[in-house]
Amino acid sequence: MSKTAQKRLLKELQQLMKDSSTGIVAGPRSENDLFVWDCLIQGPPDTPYEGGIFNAILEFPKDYPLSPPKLTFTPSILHPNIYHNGEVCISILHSPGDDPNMYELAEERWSPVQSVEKILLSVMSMLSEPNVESGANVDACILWRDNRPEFELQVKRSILHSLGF
Amino acid sequence: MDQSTLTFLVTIIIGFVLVKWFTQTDQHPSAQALTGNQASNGGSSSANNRGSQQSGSTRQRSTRWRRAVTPDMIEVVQSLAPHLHEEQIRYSLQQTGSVEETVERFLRGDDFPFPPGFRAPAATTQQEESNDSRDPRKRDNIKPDNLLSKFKIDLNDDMSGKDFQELDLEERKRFLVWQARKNMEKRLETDTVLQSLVKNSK
Repeated sequence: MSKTAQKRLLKELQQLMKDSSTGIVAGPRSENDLFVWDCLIQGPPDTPYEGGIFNAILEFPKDYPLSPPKLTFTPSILHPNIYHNGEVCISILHSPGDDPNMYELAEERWSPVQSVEKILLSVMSMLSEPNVESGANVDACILWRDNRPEFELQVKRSILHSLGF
Repeated sequence: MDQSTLTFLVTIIIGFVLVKWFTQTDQHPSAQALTGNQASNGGSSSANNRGSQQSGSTRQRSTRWRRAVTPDMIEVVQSLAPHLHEEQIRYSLQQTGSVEETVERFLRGDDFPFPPGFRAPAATTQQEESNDSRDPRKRDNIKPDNLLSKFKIDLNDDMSGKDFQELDLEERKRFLVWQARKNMEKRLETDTVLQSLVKNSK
């Protein structure tokens, strides 16, 4: 099983290296372990996250691509759909079976036709359009809804810090 | 050590284990003291045997005068009534002999007494502590990380001439961060909000 996963991951890596979308860099953290990837995601323009670079870890299960990988921002960022520990909560990372509320549509969720690139692009669109309805970080949700200027200031402050200012 | 001594010892050990097995009850230790008093009350329990179909269990022999209560039955009730103590559920199951009946009592809002003589253990405080162990997702990790030092970027390097497609993975990461830093420097020249943020943080 893990052979299939390895083959698939190698293929995706080659594809990403050949023509990656702008603002995304992703690849295995070390050559010995294909199942943990280190990613950099650029903050999308015209959002509070503009200009920022965010580091995240992708952990693939052994039965990838049947099960979705887990994406964790290291360190975490202030965002309604990102848990305090950095775990990302978006529909594409949920397997079709485990939505107890039946809130997400089946076609939005994980299936083997998705890919690392699609996940990272979804994360970018999540950064520009938070989904407050299914929030992961309640404090961030409230701040985003009730005090947008303060939310943007906090995000910008941490971006400046991360770039060494 | 000769053969007969060995056989003797083994027999003793097996005998001890068997005696233990037959005399043990599956009760909480604090309620075991009353098994004696209860034997008289439970005598009339053979009529309705719906819930005790697990008759293969050897434990039943020791608790024949009561209805057999398996851990599974307790678990089922506990999943419906998580705030009840295990001993309350066991006591009720011993009286009713069936999960359905006990659940019905629970839904009716009946009282669930502790077995007589049961002393509430220190378990309640332990439960609170275990609830306290926090959801790992709540562990706060929101903090800016200096990407320049993380990816070992020298700001004096000029990476602008490099072709992104030809770089390897590590180089690409450094290029992305370097580019972000340079763009931010440019933005800082004009953006007053960002300028004030930088000043305040110093």
